[in-house]
Amino acid sequence: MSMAQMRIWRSVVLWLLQRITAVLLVALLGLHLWASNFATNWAALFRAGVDVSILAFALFHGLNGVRTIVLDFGLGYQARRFVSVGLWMLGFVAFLFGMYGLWPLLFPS
Amino acid sequence: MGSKTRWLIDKSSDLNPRNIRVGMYAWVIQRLSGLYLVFFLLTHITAIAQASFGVTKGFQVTIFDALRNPFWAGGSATEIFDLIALGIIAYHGLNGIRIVFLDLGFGVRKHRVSFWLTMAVAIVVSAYIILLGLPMLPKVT
Repeated sequence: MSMAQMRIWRSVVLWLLQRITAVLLVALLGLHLWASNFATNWAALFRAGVDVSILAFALFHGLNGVRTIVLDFGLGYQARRFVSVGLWMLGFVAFLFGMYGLWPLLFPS
Repeated sequence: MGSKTRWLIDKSSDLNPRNIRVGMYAWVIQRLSGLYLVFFLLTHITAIAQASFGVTKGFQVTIFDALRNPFWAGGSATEIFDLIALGIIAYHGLNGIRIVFLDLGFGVRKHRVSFWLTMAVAIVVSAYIILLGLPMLPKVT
């Protein structure tokens, strides 16, 4: 597979993942709202699983969405790489920070 | 507007208000609400990361509070902005589901009807959660 074909496939996979995470997020956010505000007897591990999934999916979906918006302005290749790499780094840091916040939920003392 | 940029709002331009219709507004609002939600998510993450360890002040927490209560009003204002955020999430999520269906090829010819149908569902869902949760929403101090 040539470099150009790989780039096209990468875009297609990102587009598809954007749709898949969108559908998952709608379902998970319902559980998240319920578990954080209304539920009294939810298994903590299930809650933690929902929250970690939301953390990962929402960060991917949101930052990939930002990338889509930025790319719609028609940047050159270098600038696109810069934006993509920067957003991946931001997402990674935010994921670690989110895991730090979920730690008491994941491992209650 | 100069002659070089005149085409931007010409009669045939997509940016001329007379040519902007429901689908275009849906697209623009989808993107704006998406940007809002990214901002909300990042501040939500940092505010909760700090709150988990007993920190309740810090610029991320302040930004998160400001998003929930932009005018620092007292009383039930925070709940109202929580509910607005809820409405934005309902809009973005349900319009997103509609976009997935359109991408799969369902309802392309009925996209205007499905938009208004989606908005009706978004209002019903928001109203249901509001009725359920209004008394239980946490307060920002």
